Amino acid sequence: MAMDPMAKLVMMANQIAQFFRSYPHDEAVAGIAHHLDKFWTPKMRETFRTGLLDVQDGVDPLVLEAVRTDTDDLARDPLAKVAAGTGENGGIVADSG
Amino acid sequence: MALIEEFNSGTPIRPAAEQVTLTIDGMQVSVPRGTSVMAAAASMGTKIPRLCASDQLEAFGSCRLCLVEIEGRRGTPASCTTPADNGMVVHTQNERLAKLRKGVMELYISDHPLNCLTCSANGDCELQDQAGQVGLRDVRYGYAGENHLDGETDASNPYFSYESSKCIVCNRCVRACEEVQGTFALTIEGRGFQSRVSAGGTNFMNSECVSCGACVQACPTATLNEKSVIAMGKPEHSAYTTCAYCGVGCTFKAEMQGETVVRMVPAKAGKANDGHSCVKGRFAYGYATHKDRMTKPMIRAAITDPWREVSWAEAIAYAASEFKRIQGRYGRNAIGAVTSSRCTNEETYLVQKLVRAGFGNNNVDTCARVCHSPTGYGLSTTLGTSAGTQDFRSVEQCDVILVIGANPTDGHPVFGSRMKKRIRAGAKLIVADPRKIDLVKSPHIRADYHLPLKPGSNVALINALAHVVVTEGLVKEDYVRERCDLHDFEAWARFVAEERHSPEAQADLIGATAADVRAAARLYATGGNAAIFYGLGVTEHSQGSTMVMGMANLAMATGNIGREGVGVNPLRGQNNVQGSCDMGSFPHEYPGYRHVHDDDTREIYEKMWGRPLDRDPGMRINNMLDEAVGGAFKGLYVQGEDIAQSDPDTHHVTSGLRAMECVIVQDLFLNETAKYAHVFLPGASFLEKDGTFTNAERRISRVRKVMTPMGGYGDWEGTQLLSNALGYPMHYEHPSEIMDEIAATTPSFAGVSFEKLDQLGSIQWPCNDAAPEGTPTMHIDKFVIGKGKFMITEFFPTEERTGPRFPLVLTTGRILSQYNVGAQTRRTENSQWHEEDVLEIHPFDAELRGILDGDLVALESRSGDIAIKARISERMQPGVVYTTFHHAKTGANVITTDYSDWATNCPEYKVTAVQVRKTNRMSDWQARFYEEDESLKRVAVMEAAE
Ligand code: SF4
Ligand code: SF4
Ligand code: SF4
Ligand code: FES
Repeated sequence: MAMDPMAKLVMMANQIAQFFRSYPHDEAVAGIAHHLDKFWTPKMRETFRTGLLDVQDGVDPLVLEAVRTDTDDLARDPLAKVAAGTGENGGIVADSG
Repeated sequence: MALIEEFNSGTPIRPAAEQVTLTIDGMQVSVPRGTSVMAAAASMGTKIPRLCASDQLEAFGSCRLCLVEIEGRRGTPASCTTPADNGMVVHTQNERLAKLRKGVMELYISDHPLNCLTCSANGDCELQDQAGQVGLRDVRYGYAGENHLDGETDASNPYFSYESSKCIVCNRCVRACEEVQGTFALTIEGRGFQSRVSAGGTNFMNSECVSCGACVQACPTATLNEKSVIAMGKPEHSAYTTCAYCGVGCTFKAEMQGETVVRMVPAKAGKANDGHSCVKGRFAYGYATHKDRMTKPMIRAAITDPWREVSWAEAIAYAASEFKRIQGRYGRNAIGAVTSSRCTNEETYLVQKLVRAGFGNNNVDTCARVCHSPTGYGLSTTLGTSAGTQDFRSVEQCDVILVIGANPTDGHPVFGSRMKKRIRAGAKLIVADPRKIDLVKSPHIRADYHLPLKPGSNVALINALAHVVVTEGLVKEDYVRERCDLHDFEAWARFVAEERHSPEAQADLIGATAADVRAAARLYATGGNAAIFYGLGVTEHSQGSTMVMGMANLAMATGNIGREGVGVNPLRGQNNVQGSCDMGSFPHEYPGYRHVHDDDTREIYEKMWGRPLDRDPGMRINNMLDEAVGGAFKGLYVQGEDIAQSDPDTHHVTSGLRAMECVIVQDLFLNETAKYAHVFLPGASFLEKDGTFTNAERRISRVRKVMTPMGGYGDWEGTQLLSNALGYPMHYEHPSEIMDEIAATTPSFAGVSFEKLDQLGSIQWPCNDAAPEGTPTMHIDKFVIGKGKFMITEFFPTEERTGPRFPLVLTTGRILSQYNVGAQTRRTENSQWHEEDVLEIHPFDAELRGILDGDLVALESRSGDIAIKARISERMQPGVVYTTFHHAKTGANVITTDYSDWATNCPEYKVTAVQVRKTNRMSDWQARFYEEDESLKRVAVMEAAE
């Protein structure tokens, strides 16, 4: 089931958008942007951005917005920690795994 | 080194609120209330003779050897069944007692063969010991009367035999099977003199027995004895080590003769297993010395060439020159590595270090990607740590147990036994699983609710459960107000309260009745301490991460996190999957789950490792394979993993591997991935190296070297050689130095060292100044994240849909006797229980297709097709078929697709749309598999060695 790389990235991005869509619009955009930044390699992001110049059909509008927005201008990410810290036992500032 | 003898108090000593003080043989002793006189005596060093008592079992009181005198009481009560009490004055030895005990022993011995010198248990037999202890010198009754000396031997089990002539009918085996294992396979048949142990009226192999060995360990005589002991004799030294199979992480004593394992005995000192084990850990270690072990480094220029055995120096030099060439030609990012959840923490740490500092990129990933990566993402997002919240022992405090997408009695057997024990003692049980797994109904266990989910509907279920909790006013408001982020909670509560999430609205989609879902939710929320245990049935879905968050939401809303008996507990697959994640095996994070973006963390490692580090996340396994197919990724170092068998969509994986120019495989065997490799480095089994594993409870335990590595080096040494040859120097003399580096750079491991592990036995991270002895229960008083974070978990059906062409859903799983890709267990007698993978299919679906039990069927999906034998089974629902993937030749992953979890790309192994039809031939893939199993595994015949 080898897929063309752009099609695969679109599928992945849309899946990510699907999760964040439950949040208010700006937060969803921020959530998606951060997710791509945290987990995608620079090359994936680059291929995706370039690919979007040709194809935008079938790409979730939230994704398009997330890719366009400058990270500094993003709203609160739904994953942002309110009282971020290490907790008593902690020492762990976990992201994901 | 000597043989480790573990203390046995005869009956269990359990903590109690109150201590009682008594006098035994003139000495005062205090013990927790409820302790027997026998155990009280043992705790002060006094051994009262005994035969039917052992401290892993409840007292039974049948042998009458443990009689004592208690002042003020009549007769001679059995010390094993008499609870100690304040002011008691006990005498354990006097003439009267000695005479009585001799009489008892005489009766036993008169019906027991006296060939002690040639008996396999000679020197390790409690009957022999007790005869010595009571001073038995002669036996008045001869063998003339009726006896059992010609009793039969049942040698049907491949690992142990039952020699009935030696049985003293002490009942220990029967009780071990009931109380410790929970299988109830054994009974005592007949009465009085006629009574004999019976495996349900048949032999052990044909019985319900799951070959855990608890009865063998409990047997005081040679009646139930390991065949290895019968063949080899007694071990002479032993070392504590950790099982290398599953995420329970049982502690064992490896009992040795020289460098040969005589037997593996689960250690009572092991906090994960309390002296119990399953068939894999106890018996299936033979793979470690199997003839298929590859012990010589090998290289070849092309995968179609035969392998050529070479020296380590040549193999390493070749591997390094290839990796350098590839990076020179295709760029820094053209190589990467896969770490192993089978290897130690130290080895995993070293591989990711080699990648980040030596390769100069972050292209490192691990097999946890394909099993529990959503656990990390989901739990860290909601609670703040990428790990389970409890220790296993916590299950003893559970009132309600919710098992979702896990099959503990097969996948995590020792924990399964512990869970069953708690359920027998009264805890309520809810099972959410497409199949009627054993827990749903087995001897003395019956689930209060079985929610027979349709594969892929987990998130709909968790939302429906949450809907009931929120709309019926079952939220623990004080807890939520104090500990959680209220903004997020309110958004979540509004979301799940919507009518569309109600059990009634979702029942068809979920597959369970609305009434059962409602009742289960009420039970979970109001039944006392409620704990969730889950497995790959949760994570291996396109919404795996969402589901993990959903479970954390439910637990927070009902106040079920932060003390014993509650929590959200992933049952981890492989022995060190927790550890490999902790050690920075993911391309976006350093050890301790710190993102590569984080400047402070990067600085710590740049300083420690002396190289500039890349701040961008690297490639996941699937990206590496995609890039390989695309031509940009050319070299992969795979330590102890078999991605060609275990990863989804085999066609895609093998095309990726074929497209690479240098694949280095370091493994025990020439596995499926090695078919596509250019360099083979012999791996070392867990018996051949020092290190640590971390189990599903975050428990770090020692692995100890008991034999010389067959290939010459531990895996960590192989990595170090490669690193040095690549020009990034590493100079560790011992794995403990690697752990010291981990501790120095990772806050949650700050207090861990081999020395401390030797002292404490094991440590649950976080272990640091705040918790110098580790942390059994997480999130007490406060979540690690700060405020607990509720996440909105909208349900979306997977893209993988059934339709006219592929009308059935295939889901995959595993069974007790085999382990994952089967590389180890297939090379042991465990195959007697599972010779091949089969396809379980419901009678209705089978009939529709004219399929009979045992027919060969073609199993076909959008990805590919295989032929497999059908087994008709009512454990499946109609519309769902099931198989395991323990055998490479089955090629179950030829069928699975590359759909994956939205957040972590954990593949969706649990849902594939398929069609099943009768066939009379193997699939093209299988035909090619057999062909390539020859052609890609050839080893050149060597001239006489240099
Ligand atoms: S090996 Fe385990 S399951 Fe089998 S009879 Fe013994 S205790 Fe029971
Ligand atoms: S087999 Fe062993 S444990 Fe079982 S009753 Fe006989 S002597 Fe006791
Ligand atoms: S339960 Fe797991 S860790 Fe324990 S012996 Fe079995 S396979 Fe090994
Ligand atoms: S040990 Fe007490 S009666 Fe057997």
